[in-house]
Amino acid sequence: MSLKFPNVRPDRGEIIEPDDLNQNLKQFVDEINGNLTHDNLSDFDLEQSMFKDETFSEVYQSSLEATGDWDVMSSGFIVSKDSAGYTRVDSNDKSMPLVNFIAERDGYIIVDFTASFVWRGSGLLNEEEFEVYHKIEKHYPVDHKKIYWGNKSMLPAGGWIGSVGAGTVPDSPGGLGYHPRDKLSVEASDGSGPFTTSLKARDFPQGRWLVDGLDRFAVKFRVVSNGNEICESGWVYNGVDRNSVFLTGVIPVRAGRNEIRTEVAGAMLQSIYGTSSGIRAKDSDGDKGQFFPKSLYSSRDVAMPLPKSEAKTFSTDASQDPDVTINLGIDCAVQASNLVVQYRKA
Amino acid sequence: MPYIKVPEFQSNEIIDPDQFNDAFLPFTNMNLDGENFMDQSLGPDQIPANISLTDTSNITRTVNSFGSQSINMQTDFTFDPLQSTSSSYSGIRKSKVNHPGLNHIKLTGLEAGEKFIIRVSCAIDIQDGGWRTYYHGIPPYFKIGLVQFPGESSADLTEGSSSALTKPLHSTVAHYRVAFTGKVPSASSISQEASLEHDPNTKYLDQNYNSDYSYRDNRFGEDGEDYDPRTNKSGMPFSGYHSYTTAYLHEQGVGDNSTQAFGVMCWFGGQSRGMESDGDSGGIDGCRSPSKDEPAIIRDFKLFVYQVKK
Repeated sequence: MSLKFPNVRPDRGEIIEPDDLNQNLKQFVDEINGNLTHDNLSDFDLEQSMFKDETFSEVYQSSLEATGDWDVMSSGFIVSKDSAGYTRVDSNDKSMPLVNFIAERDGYIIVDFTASFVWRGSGLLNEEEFEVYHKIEKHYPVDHKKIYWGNKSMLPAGGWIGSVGAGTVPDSPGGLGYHPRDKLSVEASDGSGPFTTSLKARDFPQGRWLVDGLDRFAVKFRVVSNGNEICESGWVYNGVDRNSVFLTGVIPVRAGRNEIRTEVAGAMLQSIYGTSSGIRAKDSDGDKGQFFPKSLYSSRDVAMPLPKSEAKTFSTDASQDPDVTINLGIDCAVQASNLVVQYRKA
Repeated sequence: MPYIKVPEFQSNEIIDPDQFNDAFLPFTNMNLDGENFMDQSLGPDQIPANISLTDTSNITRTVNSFGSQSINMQTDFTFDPLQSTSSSYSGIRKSKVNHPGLNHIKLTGLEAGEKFIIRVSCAIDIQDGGWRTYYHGIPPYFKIGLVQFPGESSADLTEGSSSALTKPLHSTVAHYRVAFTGKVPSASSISQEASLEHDPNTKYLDQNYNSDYSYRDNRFGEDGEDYDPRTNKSGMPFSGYHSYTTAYLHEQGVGDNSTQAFGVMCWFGGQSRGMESDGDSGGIDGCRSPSKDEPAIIRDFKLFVYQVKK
């Protein structure tokens, strides 16, 4: 409140004590030194020029940039493989964007956060999965020997995976693919054969549809203010192996130091199936299972740490080029990120 | 800051007239500023309208938007302005290659310390070209990010223009790619037409044989791939729809050019068909290798800037 009157009002003929004067002056000095309010202003409009810059808003930025090629994972922020939880500093001591500022009074912040990331690796865990996901068998009526897809590939298997590639010798299908000039061996319309046709492998490419692709790894991001979550992305899967997220949100802040952090979590997500008891258990229609009991989810999207990556050579039973080098596991790195924090003073 | 201080009078001492007069001097020529007011001392009615975030005196071009722009696929990095190891790009800028719509916003008369927030958003459509039809096929990816054009005006940012000062803002860069693709249309289980043309005795399993085999037959009709309206288009299963949004704070530095433009640049490429180009095949001759380099589409594009001053 800022309506002030002199404390001491001497009567006529009274001698003024110096301290009375001190008291009366103090009333006004204290008011002017930081306690004026709108009551002290006459009825006029303040002009914009009377308000200094950053009277109502301040803005901050923190950035992360890859130090090299995006295909080199270590040039960015490496998503942790030790935990499926959120991390803010990676194994190379690289940090996700962070803003630390002192708010002169209570207010709120608006955050804009972008992060771009890449995945590299087959996503396979072991040789058994290599057999399940990468083996391409013949598709009747075409006849060919087994092919194993994925030599040195950094892509996961999924969708169409082709078996026609860079086989080293024509007519010698093997681990590195069916030679494009190979003539397809096809069963005849009368059921005899198969016989070698004039159809070239490159024109009628063989391969495999992998409906259940290796799209089970994911990352998610969040922005926190003093530990309180402002916004979170949800899981973003590796099927889009180069991708980005944009998060925005608003949260109140107190006067004093505030820390706005960004964090990332990576995980392998798998649903765990359970079964009702006994092999003769009834299904939802009340029928008893003939061979298998009804299965059910006991838990969906269980997060496990990302698998370690390793290049490993498998010997296959393909007739030629039998050794196939597979990049087991998968890596994820955040290669670019930008955090903008606007502090609005209340 | 005008904190004021007055002399303190001592008890039982006679006040000198000059001392008395001087005590009021600080009140005679005061120049108040924000430090003299209590926090939250001004009511909404005393704050001028449109005072915050509305200063446009430095902004010559506030917004740039367009509905759709195609970006052609590249086979090398010549026109890639966003190479992560480069702090500048001196190559040319082309609307259908790396600078969609020659978009930009422009700031002039800038002084050190002034701050601007730049936001951009758009959608990016990338067709499934069947890039993994062959063993070593790799699908293309799309790069996009904000770029700073120091000292350049709209007249400078023309088709085919270049400036060695063009500076990619790497923290805003994003890449997009769907890892999976379909197969370039061909009846890989052999079509009736291919059988009749090449080896009439060959068994075929296309839709002419049995409609149940449609899943093995993506020729979509008798005339084969060349006439397939779905080729490399909506019929393919892994077309990418991507959403790009970013925000960037530009703070004018000491010695920076007082004119700055900002825009979005991009690049589309990095693909490998895993097979030499095949211009002879198609239709009854089977599959044409993924040579139809369909452009990507940037759409619903908006670039916007505002100043953070008060």
